Amino acid sequence: MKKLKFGQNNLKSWKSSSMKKKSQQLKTEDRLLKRILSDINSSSNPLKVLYLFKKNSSLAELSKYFNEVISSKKIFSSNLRIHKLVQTEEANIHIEDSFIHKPMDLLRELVWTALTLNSYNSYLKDFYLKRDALENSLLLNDFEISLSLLDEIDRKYGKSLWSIKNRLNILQRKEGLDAQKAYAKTLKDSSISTSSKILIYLFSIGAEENISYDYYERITNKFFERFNIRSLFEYYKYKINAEYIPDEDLYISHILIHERTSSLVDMYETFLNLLSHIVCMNFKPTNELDVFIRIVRKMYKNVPDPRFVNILRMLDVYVPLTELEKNETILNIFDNFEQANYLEVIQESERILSKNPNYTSLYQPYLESIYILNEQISLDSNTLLYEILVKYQDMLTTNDNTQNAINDLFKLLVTYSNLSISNQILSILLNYLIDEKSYKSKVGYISTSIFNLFKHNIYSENIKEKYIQEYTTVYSSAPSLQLLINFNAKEESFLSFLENKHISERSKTTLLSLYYFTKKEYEHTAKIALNNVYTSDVILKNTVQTMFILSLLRQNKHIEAMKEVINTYFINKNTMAILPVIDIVDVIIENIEKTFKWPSEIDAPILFYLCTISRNHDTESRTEYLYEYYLVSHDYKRPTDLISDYINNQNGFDEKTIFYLDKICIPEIMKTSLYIDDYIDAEKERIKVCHHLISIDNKNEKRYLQEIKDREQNLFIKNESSRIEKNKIYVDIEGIKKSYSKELKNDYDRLMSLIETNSYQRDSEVEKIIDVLKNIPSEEKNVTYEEAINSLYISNISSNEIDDLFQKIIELSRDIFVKNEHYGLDVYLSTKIRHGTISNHLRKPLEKENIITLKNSKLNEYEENAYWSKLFYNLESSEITLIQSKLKNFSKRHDDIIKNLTNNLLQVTTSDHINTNMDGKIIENENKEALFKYNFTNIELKSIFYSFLDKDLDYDVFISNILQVLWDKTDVNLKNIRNVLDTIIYPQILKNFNDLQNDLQVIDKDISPLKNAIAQSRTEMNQSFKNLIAWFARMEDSEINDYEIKSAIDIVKNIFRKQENNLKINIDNMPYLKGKTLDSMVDIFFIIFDNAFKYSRLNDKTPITINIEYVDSMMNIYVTNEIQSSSSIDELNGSIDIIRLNYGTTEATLKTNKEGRSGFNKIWKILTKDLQIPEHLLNFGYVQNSNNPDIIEFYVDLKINVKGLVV
Amino acid sequence: MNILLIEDDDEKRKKITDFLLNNYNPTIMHKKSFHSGLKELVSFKSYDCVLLDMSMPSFDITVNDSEGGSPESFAGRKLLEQMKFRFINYPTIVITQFDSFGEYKEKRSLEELKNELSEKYSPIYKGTVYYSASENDWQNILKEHINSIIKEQND
Repeated sequence: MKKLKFGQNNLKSWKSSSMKKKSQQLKTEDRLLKRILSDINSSSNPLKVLYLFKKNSSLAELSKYFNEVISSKKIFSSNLRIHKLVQTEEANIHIEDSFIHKPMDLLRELVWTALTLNSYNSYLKDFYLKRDALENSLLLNDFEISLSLLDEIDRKYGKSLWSIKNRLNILQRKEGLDAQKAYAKTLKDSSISTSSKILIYLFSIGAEENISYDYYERITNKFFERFNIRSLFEYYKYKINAEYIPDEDLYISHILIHERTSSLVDMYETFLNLLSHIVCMNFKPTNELDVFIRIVRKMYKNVPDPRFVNILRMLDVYVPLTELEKNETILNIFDNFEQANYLEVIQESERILSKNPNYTSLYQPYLESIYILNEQISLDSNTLLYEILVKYQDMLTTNDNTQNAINDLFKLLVTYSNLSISNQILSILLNYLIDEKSYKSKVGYISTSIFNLFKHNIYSENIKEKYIQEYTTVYSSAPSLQLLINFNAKEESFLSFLENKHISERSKTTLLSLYYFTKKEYEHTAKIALNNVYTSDVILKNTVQTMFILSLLRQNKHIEAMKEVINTYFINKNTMAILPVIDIVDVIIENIEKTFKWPSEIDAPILFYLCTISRNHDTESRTEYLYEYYLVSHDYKRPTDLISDYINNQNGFDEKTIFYLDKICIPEIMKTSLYIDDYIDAEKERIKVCHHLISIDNKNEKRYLQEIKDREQNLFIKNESSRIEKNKIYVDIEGIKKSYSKELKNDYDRLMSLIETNSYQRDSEVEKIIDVLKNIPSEEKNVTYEEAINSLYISNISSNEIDDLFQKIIELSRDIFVKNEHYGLDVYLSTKIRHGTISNHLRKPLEKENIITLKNSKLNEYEENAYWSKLFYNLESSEITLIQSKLKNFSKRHDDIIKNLTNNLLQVTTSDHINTNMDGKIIENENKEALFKYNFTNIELKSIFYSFLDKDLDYDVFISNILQVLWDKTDVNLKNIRNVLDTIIYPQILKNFNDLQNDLQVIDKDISPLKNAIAQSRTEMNQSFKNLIAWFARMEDSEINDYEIKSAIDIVKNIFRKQENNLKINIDNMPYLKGKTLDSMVDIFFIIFDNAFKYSRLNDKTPITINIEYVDSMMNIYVTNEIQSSSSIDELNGSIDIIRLNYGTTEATLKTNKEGRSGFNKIWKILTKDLQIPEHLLNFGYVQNSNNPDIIEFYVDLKINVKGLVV
Repeated sequence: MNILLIEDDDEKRKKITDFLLNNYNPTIMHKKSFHSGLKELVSFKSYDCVLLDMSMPSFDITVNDSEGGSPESFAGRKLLEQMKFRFINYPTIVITQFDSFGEYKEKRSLEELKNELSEKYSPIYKGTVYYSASENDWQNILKEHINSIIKEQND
């Protein structure tokens, strides 16, 4: 093999020669270049020479020789991507390059990228103008212009993923989901690269309007879950959200390397965006940074993109003020704002923003002026600009929409992450969310090309000084500019500056609050906050209040800070987003660890609770501890102790105590307390708390009643049923449902919205296959339909967005059902079955008879069996050795069988039969022998989806159908496991016994005690194994045992705390009802009881009589209660005619749904929809009491055909 | 030597107890759930060492509650956390038959768990012993940990 001349040593020698006399430098350098070029020409592997050139040259050398080296004949003819970054076809985006290597250090990769881009200067010189115009047109909804600009960009600068993403977003906004999806589909069906297809698929979902940021993030995370090539994973993550920057330099370098195989536009945009982030991070300059800076300066000279201005300033290169920065009109807006000329601010801002919507610096003064003057945003309400402004306004004014506005803006910044506006939105958000200390809050300023009051704060002191100096020289009188100087002045001068420049009182308050905070004069900050406690100006109040809380923290007054945060939260719960919750929690934790003392104020559990739920912070267990600590430090043990004490002492319940009782005194938190005895105790304590809360916090009565109902019902189920039998397979369905409502609801909503907007076409070929499988005559079946369809994977089944989403829903539901850390099947398998239980269970019969020993892990062999050695002391030593050897083998084989069972077979797998990675390579399934199989084949998913489409798509029904699918799968698995245990594992165990018994036959001495022990053990093993097989079953039909109707009434009785003497129940001949109807029956009686109390005007003392009889499949319920009324019976009946008339009509049902499903129409829904009862009759009204005509009674006569629902 | 053994598995508890009785002269207090373990930890008794299982039910199994609340995969970690919150400083050894569950990157190895415990709960956390019903190695490792605790206390 020919040795390459261009090695590291050669380079060193070139370098050392270059250090010689300066006069010879030029000549030497020329020689160096010549030598590199000669090496390239003479090498059989010129790309390796190129690699060494990139790797071993100094950055100065790289910069100097890059163009010559790259354009050398041999490199040029190597078909490198670097020469073909402008592509006219989408299919050519992202084509693998032959110059692939591991990334070098980040600065070197940045230099290489910058040099590559510099070689395309002639293309890029005016790209930024088109790009800005496109961004403006998009923000102003000028979609015709946007599309025509995109076409022009594609023609002139080549196709790019950047352009595709923009086009998808524009089509979504201009023509809606269908058009956007149609475009994505044309690309999917084209010969575009796999990488591009993946990204386009994710861009297209990101462009959809109805999905939230959290949801999109979940989709993408889920998508990349099995992705094990981190460099590629980080690249994709970055491409779908350009605000996502990897933590490690290595992966930023990887992004640059991947982008070099895409397109010129992608490479340029990625370079600038990454650089904007990098300069805002803790960027540590190296010796060779100056080379890079020179290259960037050269780029700016050739491509005057305004984004370079702030990047260069961040790199400590002063770039004089640009024309945009010097724009006097914009400065006037800031001056007018400080001087309270709000109308001018509004008018001028609107004039400018309607042409330059990306001047985000103007958003805040504009929106604050609108707020102060109580005006409306009068820009075109159809535009993206308007949408952003409205959301920003919702943030500033902390109203009920604030949290949604924050979430929406996060989603917008992902959707438009390839535009500058996303950086600016991110800065707005991060500067608003006080807990967020990310460097990213600075990134928005990089793309701020106009004046901004705070932009200079990101520069170094040197640059900042020059910047302010130049501004004040150009505009000496503008107060906004003078603020930049005077902010550092002494208090007296600053105050007199504010006075002289006629700064408004409002601005003065804000500026002084900030001024004193910066100067660490916290008492002044506090004073300002106190002076503004009652101001109606929410924006002002939030600003000074936040400054005040932060100043308390700076003074180590964390308890006061905590109280202030909680007080602020209770005044306006929408302020949660802007309160420094994590800051305070961190300081408190630090203080506890230092002082060994927890805070005893009620604010503490509330703060930690809020931190857990709103910040997703790891404070859950501390909240649990603080729940108890608060009670104990006030001499209570339980919440009901506190309530009784308050009631006895006639203490009022303040808002914080009610919050504590309502949100924190819940079983999930209380169960860690020392003073709660068990699960049932926790539930009962909670029910008592809820009963008290009905009167303490009456406005939420309905919610508390519902909670009591749910908990009473669960307690009944837990008490009455044996559903959680020891070692039975169990999944906590209530817990799973809770998880579904958190994790699945968005997917469900999106699926419904897609089904609504697209007419879903079933695949007739697939339907035929499903029909065939379903209709195989039963005598020919040796497998069930579920088993058959689960083993059939058909290639080339068409799928669309709806199919994909449904698949995701099923997979997510399955993952929660199977893997949820608290409620899932695997946690039960792990703790109840695998976790030593099986080993103990299957070893016990052998240990009892002393025929198994332990393995010595160090020697990796089984121990001697001392029992038999001692018993057979009279045998020959060779015979003893033989017995020991056979017993050791027996022990090993037995343990190996158990090990195989627990480690391989009784595991869960969710892998598909054909599981490929992004490159189409088959991924080895980790749990390939696992018997709990929860994979779905493509045809199986279709079959499930089609069956769902035939059913009610209401959320509750949808979830219950999903659970049914998963239980069906579990049943198939359990059947298979029982079969494997019976036909494979048990025979293995028996064989091991047989082998041992045979092996011992060779000993002709009397070893009958051992033989008897083996036989005895074998018999016991048979029973143990039968027991083991029985573990793998679950309760049939429903999770709830069949029950008496009286139990449903008892649950409702407990909810209303109904005394026996006010309630007469006569039940005649009523059989047990099936467990699955319990929830519905409780609901029906709940409605009847609730109605009785609400309208009787006799409150909870209302006497109620319930008669229930069962005749010919009909359950007849007749309920009466006395009422107090001065009206006649006719008048009373007349007043409810309309309710009777509307019962069961569509209109009433819709109303029922809207109004939270209360009243008699809910009974109709329960019976016809939930229980699917074909026939029932409901009558109700007022009658005279049959014994005393003076007493008026309300009656409910309900006749239900319960055929099929009784046992 | 006073030892608190918090372990819900009867067989495992018996084997650990036998081992302790054969090697030390301990007084052993047994608890079988997160909750009863916690109650014992905050009692004013003094323990030289706490032996802690990792997965346990949240409450003791009773006639009324046949499952003991719900299974807690990381009850041992939660108890260490509670000891930290309540400033309880008994030297603690985790003895687990830890069975990693989940697939792909969700799967947690015993090593990761050990690192986490060591990072968060040192110095009270002294180490983890992997218990296997079919092997004897756990006895040697447990012995090393207990001896080291005894040595520390004697020093």
